[in-house]
Amino acid sequence: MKIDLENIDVKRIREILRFPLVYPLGRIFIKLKFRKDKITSVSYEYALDLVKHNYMGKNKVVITNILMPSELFFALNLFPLLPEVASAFTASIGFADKTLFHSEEIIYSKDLCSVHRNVIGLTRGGILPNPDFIISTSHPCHSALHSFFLISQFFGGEYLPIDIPLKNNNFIGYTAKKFEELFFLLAKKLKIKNPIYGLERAINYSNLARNYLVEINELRKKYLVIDGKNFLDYAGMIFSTFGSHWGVKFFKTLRDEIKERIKKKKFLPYKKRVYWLHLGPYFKTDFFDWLRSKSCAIVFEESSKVYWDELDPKDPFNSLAKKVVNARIFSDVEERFRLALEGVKEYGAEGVIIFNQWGCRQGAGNSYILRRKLIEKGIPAIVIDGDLIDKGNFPLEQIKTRIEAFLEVL
Amino acid sequence: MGYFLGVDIGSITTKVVLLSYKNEKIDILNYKISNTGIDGNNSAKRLIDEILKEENIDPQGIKGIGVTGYGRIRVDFTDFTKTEISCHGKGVNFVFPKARTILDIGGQDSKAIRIGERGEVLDFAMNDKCAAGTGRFLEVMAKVLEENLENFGKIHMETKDKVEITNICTVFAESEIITLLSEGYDKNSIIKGLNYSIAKRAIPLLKRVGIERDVVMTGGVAKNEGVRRAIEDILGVEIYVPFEPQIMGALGAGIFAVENYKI
Repeated sequence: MKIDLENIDVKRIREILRFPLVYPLGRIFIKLKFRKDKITSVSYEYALDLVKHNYMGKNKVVITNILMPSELFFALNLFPLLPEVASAFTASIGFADKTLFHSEEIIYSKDLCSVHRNVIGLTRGGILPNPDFIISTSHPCHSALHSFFLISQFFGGEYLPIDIPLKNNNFIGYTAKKFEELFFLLAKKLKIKNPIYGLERAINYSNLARNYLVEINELRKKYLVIDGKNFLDYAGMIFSTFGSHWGVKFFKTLRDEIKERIKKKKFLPYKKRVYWLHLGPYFKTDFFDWLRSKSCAIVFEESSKVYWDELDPKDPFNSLAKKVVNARIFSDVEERFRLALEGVKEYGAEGVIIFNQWGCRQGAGNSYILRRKLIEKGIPAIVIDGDLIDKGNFPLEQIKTRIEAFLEVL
Repeated sequence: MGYFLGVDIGSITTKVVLLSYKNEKIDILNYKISNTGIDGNNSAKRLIDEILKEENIDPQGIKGIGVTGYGRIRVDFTDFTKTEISCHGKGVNFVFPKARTILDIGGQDSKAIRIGERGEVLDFAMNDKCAAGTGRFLEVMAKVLEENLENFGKIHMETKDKVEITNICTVFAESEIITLLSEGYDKNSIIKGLNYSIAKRAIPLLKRVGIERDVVMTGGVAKNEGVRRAIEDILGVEIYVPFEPQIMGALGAGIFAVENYKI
């Protein structure tokens, strides 16, 4: 069945999503449709649960950004909705053309990051639910602060920005205090007594999911059974599900699948191995299939790196603060460089592809510095100027030529 | 003794080079350049037919064909392809063994390439996602100025002053030129300014890969002596141009075909 995305009736769909029966039926459909693909099945079941919590009209809706610790929300029985992830998802199903068009009704400059342009479009088009709380950190990018503020101005919701400072004497303590204040403020508004019990549960779930991801990353050092392209897709699960049972279920399923493939010797063939920095295009494109046709494998990617220690249930806010402030994956050039060097060595990559998101201020600023630094260390690197969401900013043929030449150089 | 073909299907022109390979020596026997049109595959096949007829060579005698350029992925007469970046390195190295840096300005893109002693690519940089600083930019401007593009070099050399063109966007630059003309600026000074405008777009690419002598310029724009002089003027480095700067990619593709045959 082909869905006509151009003429989709969003209002009608929102009405349908209020019926409780939709969800058990949806779950049966997902289980049947993806019975042979457990990873996709779990991720879709999670997405269905996310929709259920946020579209049935029975729960408070919290919109937040990537790297804001989802544990804080799951602890309060909130199901955080990440517009950046929704943005990528809508692009993947071919809906972003429409939502980007909606965004131009409010923000017309195409020089802004398409992820956030699409966030505005998703809200404008009535696809995202009207939020009760909009919470955004200033890290990893400032765009979220602005686009989320705009959402609150147009569509309501209490806007709660969280400033994440650059490294200074007490930056972890400062951030921890901010998280603590936010957590108890939300608990009070939601009338939750003893919210700290929920936080303990969320921290434990988070640690379990983390440890599965650590195990996955260790297995990937030795075995190539799933291409990094898939892990670029799983980034949404990394950003969204930690602190929930879904996170545990998803990463356990992924770990089990990898082990199974290793056991059955389902190794991917390759001639070239590359390390991928930043995320990749989420709209429909044959780019990654083409890359595979060139026998090039993405052996690891920046977004899958576990850069934080296990969280301490007895000191949750400090633990979460450390997790967030140490996440310099998309911004801090020195830290990205260090992680890339480490990744290239650990995963046996021959070169690095640095994806440069159009309109990403912090990313565009340091991509070429990063490339230069890698080359100085003898690691071939290439910057690809493209787009995660807007295929209009992704000149496919030119990009293929550049990558192909890069592979010839390797 | 064997014959090999190198084909470069670019956005504007298609180039074919016929090579002979005998006693470890490669010679260029003939080459042809034609508009690509809407079907690069057929344009290339037509040029191949013409060249083989002229040289009286049986198609069966062709030992290998290498293809490069944007049209390389849609050809049906060979599956041996290389990117134009690698091919330019190889082709220029054949003509100028001392070349270490290449500036190639073609119809829709421009690129700087740093190469090693064997023509192997060490680093490369390409223009942004628009036609600024490419052959297409000059074509559009020539049309606005009602001047034959082939005269841009001669006019540049004969003109003392230049008008600075501030816009890099092809469409905006077109409007700027119309305004300059209406304000009474001399057409020849505008042409000289356009050549400098191209040079200023190309130089950061060269600096990005690192400028190492000898520097060679290829692509259709290399035929415009004005652009070459403008780059030399700004950089203070002599720029060499091959006997036919448009065929270096095809030449490289042909040499790769020879190397592939030897393997």
